[in-house]
Amino acid sequence: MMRTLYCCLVRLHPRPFRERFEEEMLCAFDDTATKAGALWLFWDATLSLSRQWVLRPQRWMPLTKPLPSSSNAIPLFAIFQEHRPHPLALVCGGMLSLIFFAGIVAVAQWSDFAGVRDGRPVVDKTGLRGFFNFKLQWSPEGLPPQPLGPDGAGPVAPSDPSGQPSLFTALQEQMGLRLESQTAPIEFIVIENIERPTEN
Amino acid sequence: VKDDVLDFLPLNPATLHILLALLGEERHGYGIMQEVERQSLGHYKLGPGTLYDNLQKLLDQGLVMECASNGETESRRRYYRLTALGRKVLAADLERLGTAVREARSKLRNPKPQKA
Repeated sequence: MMRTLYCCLVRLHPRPFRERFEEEMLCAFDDTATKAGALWLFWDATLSLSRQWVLRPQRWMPLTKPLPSSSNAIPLFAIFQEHRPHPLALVCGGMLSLIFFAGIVAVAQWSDFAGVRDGRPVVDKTGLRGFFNFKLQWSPEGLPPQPLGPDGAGPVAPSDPSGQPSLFTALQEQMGLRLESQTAPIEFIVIENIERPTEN
Repeated sequence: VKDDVLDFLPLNPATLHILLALLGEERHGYGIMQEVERQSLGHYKLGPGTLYDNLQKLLDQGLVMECASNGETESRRRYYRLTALGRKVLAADLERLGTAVREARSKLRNPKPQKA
């Protein structure tokens, strides 16, 4: 999934750049992702995307015909908009890059919190309704598969050098909630068949 | 392509490191990233985005050129090497940096007394 997202980011680059370097960037991503961490690579690609659109105007689509001039010899700047990005598009592109990156960070953070990272959804059995504001201090260190506690409850808190408890311990100590590893029925969608729509 | 080396100075850190990485031998993109990390003792890391953004600029400026792969059968990788102009520009920038370093060292060794 990370590779697909990175591929999307690369394809947002201007076409001349993309056509020349897409394969090589993906190749470098494959070589680097496991070693350096994918998040850093996304940040790097986001910066590159902004630089390519904002600071490299020579990479934009070339003009296919000469610019016509008006009768008073002042260029018709509007003609640029047919061939090059509208200035507003550059601002939007920059904001889109930031939103894209922020979205990836948010998904990564949320998947850490909700346990989706190891493919385990969280089922709410508290019976509580409504919305609550709370502050939880925990460390993501050692979150992947850990041994269960002696009574089959949540995993034992790892000794984290930062002094923060694990998510399981923090939930229990700071909020009185217990996160248990269980087998339980959950709702999910099963697609059994797909057919093309028929004409009316 | 500009011919006057002074027109290219000063080089930004990414460009300087890429040219330095290509000084010894021709390399592919990932090889450049590894060499930059090695030369800077891990203090400076280039990501693929920064690398190819700068590499494209260097190719357009004629400081770097693409060359035939080094006998490697992997078609996804392209190899790059310094041009004569790139070597001159790098030498000029290193000379500039050397002058700055000498000046700084001289002042650090013999600091002028500060006025009260």
